[in-house]
Amino acid sequence: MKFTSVKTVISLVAGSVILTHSVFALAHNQAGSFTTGLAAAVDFYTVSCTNDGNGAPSYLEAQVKDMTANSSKVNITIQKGTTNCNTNACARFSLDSADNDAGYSPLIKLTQGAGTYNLYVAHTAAGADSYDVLLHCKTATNVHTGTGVTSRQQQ
Amino acid sequence: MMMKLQRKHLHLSLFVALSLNILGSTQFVYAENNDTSTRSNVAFDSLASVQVQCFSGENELSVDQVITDELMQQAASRVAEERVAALSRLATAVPMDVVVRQKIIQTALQDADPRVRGQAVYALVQQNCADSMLLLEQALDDSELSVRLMALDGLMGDDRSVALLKNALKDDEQAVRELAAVKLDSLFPTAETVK
Repeated sequence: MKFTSVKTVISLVAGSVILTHSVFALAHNQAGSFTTGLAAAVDFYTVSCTNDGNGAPSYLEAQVKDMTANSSKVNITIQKGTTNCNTNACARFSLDSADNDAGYSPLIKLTQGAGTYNLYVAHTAAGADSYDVLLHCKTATNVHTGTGVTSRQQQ
Repeated sequence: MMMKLQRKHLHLSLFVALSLNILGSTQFVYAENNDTSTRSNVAFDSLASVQVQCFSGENELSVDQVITDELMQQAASRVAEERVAALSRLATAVPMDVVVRQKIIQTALQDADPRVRGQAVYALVQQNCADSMLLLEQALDDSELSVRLMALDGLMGDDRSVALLKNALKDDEQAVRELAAVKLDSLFPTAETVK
């Protein structure tokens, strides 16, 4: 009887921990800002799409939110691969033209399988801009799978 | 003996599980405290003494109490990003009483976080307020690059703005000089500006 309650406690605690951490694992946000303010500033990240047990990655989807209302607008470009780009696009672009709302830019997808995707964040003019990028690696059946982001350049 | 071992195992599991959860919560608490601490750490806030007075515009929207309450709550958030988001929304026409808008902007101009101050400067320029130009002039003296950039963004094409834009060409920061030059170029396409 005692063992049953002990097992229940362990299951509940372990379950809560697993749930907490899996929720964080699903939410992939990359926040940042252009520290130099220069028009030519580019923040560069690499996004690693891997099979975390949910299935082999098929594509990366991304969108950006410009979090500063001003004349300058934030955009992203995601890129992977250099061959057969006319069959399966190797690069896509998305701009958040409305920077005074909570909305993100149009969702873009790049179907280039598993591996490392490049993410470039830029803005249209000199100015103080901060942003939030949503990133998700997904399988061919749209299941979220392993997604890792690394910052490579901050401007 | 077996029972003791199982109890020990249980204690260890509970300890690990709770530690992980506490660690997660601590990170959030730290983030909030960190945010609050930046409020009292200002290098030079050029806008600390500015008093704003705004008036109803010609195309004023009728007041929406739900949106008003929502924005007031967001503007008073402990999280700087939330305060910036509230001020971003004030940069457009919102169905709020002008007095409430003025209060939010006034408070934000004295915020220790430069991102909030910068966004407040930009929001103010979009309102019908007295002494906007004086505020922009003071904001251009702020020690924070982001505040100066927001002030530059708010300048128009009148004589005083042009004088301030020309003065900004001498700023220490390349981004400020660049933005001033671009704005002057757009106002006077044939004029030569120092880059």
